[in-house]
Amino acid sequence: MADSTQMLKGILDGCILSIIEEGEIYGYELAEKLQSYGFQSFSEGSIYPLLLRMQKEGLVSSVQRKSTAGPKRKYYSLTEAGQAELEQFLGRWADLKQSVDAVITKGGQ
Amino acid sequence: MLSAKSEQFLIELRMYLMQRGKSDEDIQGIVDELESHLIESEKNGKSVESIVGKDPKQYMKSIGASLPVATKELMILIPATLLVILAYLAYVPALSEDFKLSQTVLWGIIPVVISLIVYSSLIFKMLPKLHAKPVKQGIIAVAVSTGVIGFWVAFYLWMVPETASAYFTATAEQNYVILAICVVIFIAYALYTKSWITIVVAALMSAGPLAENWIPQEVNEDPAYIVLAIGVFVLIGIAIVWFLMSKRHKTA
Repeated sequence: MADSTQMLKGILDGCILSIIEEGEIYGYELAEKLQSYGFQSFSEGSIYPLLLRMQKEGLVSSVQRKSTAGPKRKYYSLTEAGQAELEQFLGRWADLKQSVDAVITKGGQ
Repeated sequence: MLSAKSEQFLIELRMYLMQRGKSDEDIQGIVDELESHLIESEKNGKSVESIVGKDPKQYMKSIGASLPVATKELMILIPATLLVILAYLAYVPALSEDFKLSQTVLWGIIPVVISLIVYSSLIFKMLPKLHAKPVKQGIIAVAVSTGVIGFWVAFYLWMVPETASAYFTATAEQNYVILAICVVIFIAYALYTKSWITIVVAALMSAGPLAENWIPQEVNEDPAYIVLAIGVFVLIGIAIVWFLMSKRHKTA
């Protein structure tokens, strides 16, 4: 999937919340999952400022656990506020997708 | 083990966040997280650029913008640092049982502040950028230290002939009390900042006055012993540099 940095802004938050909803996850794993879903062109490290912000806003919580591969890992999970934010995002995305599809389909005719 | 480039990035990130007043806990958290990420990425053959992007400075800014400024810590740290500076100014005269408030002491604040600014920019700005070039790093550190010490010596020589009257001269007991207060300040600051550097600096500052007290006057003024002492300190310096370089070589 060819994605663009500008289009990603705002969408990435929702995608991250959606992945975290599946279960507790740490940063590297999250970046790998995003890439496996087709987000290839973004810098992996860009998820950390987003995670920091989300944590500050109370959307995700974290817990540190020991790792065999170096320093401790920070595992993220969704909070109730995060779950609510994800549901709102899904609603907004559905509306946006419908509008964009309508514009594109009309333009194609 | 991390590559030198990733290690350098993490050091620069830590310094960048420290300069912007972020809390130790937040800095440690993000640095640990990125270190863990970089270790795993490098195992899979990815470069540091694929993680932090083409502009590491911009990336550091985005991390910095996401972390709150540790206002409460700064409110304690700034006055505490000023107190430590004053303690340094009082420490050596009190140790030499010669504490007095005079123009020399008051003017002495200027070289202390200038030295602190120079050393802060050396530690926070210059050295992290030269992380992968230890020889260049060592030469710059020695050159800056020589310049700062030279400035101190020049200032001292300029001030000594001044015979300004003292506003306050401490008695022997008052010198002990001042000394004890200074030691308490150094220990408290070291515990608060979780760094031994304040105590190490105080210990180094004690060396001169203590040597002056313990070593006979004729030895203190003998040029041969002075040259010998400088030679010993140069050798100790070389030994420390060699030790640090060999340690770095082993960990690499």
